[in-house]
Amino acid sequence: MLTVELSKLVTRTRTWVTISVLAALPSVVAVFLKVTGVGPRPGEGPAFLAEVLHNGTLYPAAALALILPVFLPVAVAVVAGDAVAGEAAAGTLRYLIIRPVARSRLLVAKLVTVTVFVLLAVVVVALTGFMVGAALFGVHPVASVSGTSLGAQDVTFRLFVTVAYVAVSMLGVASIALFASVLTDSPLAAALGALAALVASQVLDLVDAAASVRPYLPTHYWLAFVDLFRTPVLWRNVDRGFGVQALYIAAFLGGAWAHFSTKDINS
Amino acid sequence: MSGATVIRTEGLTKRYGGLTAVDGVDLEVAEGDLFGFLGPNGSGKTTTVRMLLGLVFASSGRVEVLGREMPARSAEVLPRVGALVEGPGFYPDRSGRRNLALIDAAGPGGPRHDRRSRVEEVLERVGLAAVGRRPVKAYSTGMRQRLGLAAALLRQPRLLVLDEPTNGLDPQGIREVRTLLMELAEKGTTVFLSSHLLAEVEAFCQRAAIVHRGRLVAQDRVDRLLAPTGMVWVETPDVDQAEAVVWGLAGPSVVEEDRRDGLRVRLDGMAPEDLNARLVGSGVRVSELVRERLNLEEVFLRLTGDTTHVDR
Repeated sequence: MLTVELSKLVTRTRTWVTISVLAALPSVVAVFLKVTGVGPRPGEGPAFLAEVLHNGTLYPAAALALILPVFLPVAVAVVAGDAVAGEAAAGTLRYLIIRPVARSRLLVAKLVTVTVFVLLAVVVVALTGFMVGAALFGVHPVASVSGTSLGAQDVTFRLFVTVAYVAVSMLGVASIALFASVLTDSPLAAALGALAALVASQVLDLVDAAASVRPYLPTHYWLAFVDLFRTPVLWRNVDRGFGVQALYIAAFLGGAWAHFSTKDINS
Repeated sequence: MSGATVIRTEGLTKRYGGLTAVDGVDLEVAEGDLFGFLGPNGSGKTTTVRMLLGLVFASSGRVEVLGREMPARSAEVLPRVGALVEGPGFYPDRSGRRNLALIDAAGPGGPRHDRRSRVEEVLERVGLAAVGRRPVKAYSTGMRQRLGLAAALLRQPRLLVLDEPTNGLDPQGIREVRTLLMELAEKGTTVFLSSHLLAEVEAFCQRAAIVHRGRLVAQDRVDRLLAPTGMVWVETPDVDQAEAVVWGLAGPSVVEEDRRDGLRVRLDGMAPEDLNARLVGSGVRVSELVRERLNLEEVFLRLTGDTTHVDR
């Protein structure tokens, strides 16, 4: 089942179109930055953009910061929301279940496939970001956000953790979308449901009156990976981000499993 | 007609909130049967089929398929079952061959080494061998239906559960499917065919169950469901004379006499051949004497008093 799912993922045009679009946006931004030389003032605008004007090394992190708030979660919600509901809508879910594929196996295969998609997307964006950054702005020793300089190995390590952090954040989104995907037979409804949850989270994050729930919002620590480029690394928010995502992943996958394993398949 | 029971349900019931979709259905399908499951749309046929296959969970009652409890043991049962449930389902952007290979690879009991030959074989069987590489979305309804049948046949199942299998097929296609099912049944495959088409069940099946509003109203051999009604139609140029003869017999009575070319007689225990002998013996010229049989439509009408949803 897993091999079938993975082969469906990699042979599907949508997968590669989505990833290309995700990688294209930061590249377009980079070209604009290079041509106009107008960067955001330090401390303003998307993270790292002020720095990369003089140094392409951190462009992978900047690229991820650009697509993280909206673009990437939308792509992940669409793919994960389609996972089960898409099969239901196509009429293939019933044939998979009576093939038979055990419901829990089907869910695991879908989850692994979505994870592969997330990793693929994040890694491709990071690599494209690195290449575009290096080509347009050059590779120089990096000064951290805190001002001290970082060695090449150190930067590579921090970039790896960044990729992992963004991927885990997106797995949180994927879990919510997968949960929505077993609730409905409409892939569109599932993707929009997950996005609605994220928008709600981002709105609550801005409301001071909701400050008490802030640390538990799925989107709250998304951009905490910026702290990875401080010296020394400020792990507090990154750790909390990992923790919150782990909670969401466990809760929503658990919910998806509980619902799906007892659900009447009427699609 | 002999052999093990392939499908057995006891008191199978499915409730959705206040609505009872399937109400205490007891089915028994023997190995090698061509079994018809007949009912109008919305009578609970598809829900029952889905419960047989473990897609829908019963509210109460038991299901046993191939001698094992469902859905608890679906991992052992379903690899030997082929099914077509409420129309075929395929990935529209991929070819028929690719779709069959994908579904085959998704579960157990479909070895990889002979996958290609099995796919070609079933495509041949359903008349899609020459279909080429075009995606399923370019198929006609009939072709999709054939592909759905092909998918059901892919692993030589012992039991085929087919929901409206001739949907969208032309008369030629229906004949082909019929021949195919007869061949399979001859080789010992049990076929459970769910349909709202009386003619389909009448033409395909030896045994049938009739379901109406979630309840089983009859389950028997089709020829028994269509058993003689105890009436005969006597065609004769000597209607008046024949009538007189029948009235003179103990038992039989004339039930319809207003036609000039014959009369309907309720036999009431007399054998039709004896009636014929009496008539001829009394000088009545009999051109035809036929035992009346119901078709399924009339059976259905009799059992349920409802024909509003039945298509002939």
